[in-house]
Amino acid sequence: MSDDNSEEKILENQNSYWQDNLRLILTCLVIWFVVSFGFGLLLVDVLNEIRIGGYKLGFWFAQQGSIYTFLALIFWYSKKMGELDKKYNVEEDS
Amino acid sequence: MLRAYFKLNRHAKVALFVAPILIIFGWAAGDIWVESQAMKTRLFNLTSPTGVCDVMAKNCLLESGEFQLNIYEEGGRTTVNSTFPLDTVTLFLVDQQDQPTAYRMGMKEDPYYWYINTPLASILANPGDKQKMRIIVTVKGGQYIAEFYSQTGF
Repeated sequence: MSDDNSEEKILENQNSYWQDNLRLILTCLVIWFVVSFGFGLLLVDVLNEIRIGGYKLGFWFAQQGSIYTFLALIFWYSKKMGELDKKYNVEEDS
Repeated sequence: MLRAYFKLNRHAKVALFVAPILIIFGWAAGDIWVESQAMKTRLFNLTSPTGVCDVMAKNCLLESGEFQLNIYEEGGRTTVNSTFPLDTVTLFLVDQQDQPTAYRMGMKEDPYYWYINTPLASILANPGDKQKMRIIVTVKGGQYIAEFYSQTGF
């Protein structure tokens, strides 16, 4: 009976961990889409009305801004996953 | 570099592995989207920023945003010079009955310069002479059009 209970709890934990993981991936993909397609293509004309350091903002996002955001996303995702690992006690052995 | 990669936690490794795939996918999808947008015909009006056009004096500038056209007459040859490479250029000389005569220009050396022989030199020979003209320029599916008058300066 207690084995069943613990097995159920592990399964529940695994599901919960997977759900949190999926939510994080989805958040990253939404940010990736907004920054690359949204700012770089769909809203480029609107953003080009704004100039930062002499550059049109839409053009800057298409050329550099999206890459900087992608790099930041990698480390943000890694940090958030580290926190999830800690929360569910599935941390990597160092 | 490789040692630094292996020191990262497993999630950073996966993210660094997946990121370039997403970048390549995004680049390809973006390219397809831009290409599909470029195929659509869009119409833009060209206007003169100064309101003055004198093709004989090489003073006839038409623009729409960053796109600029300079039209001038030299030795019986009318030339159009643009800021972007053009696909086709058609100039119309409109007579007093509002009937246009089309002059489809040919490319000079590169798609920034287009020319054709026209009777503009004789029509606009004297100071004050005026000629109504229209121009249609195509650039990657976009059509730039203008109707304007050229008047020879005094």
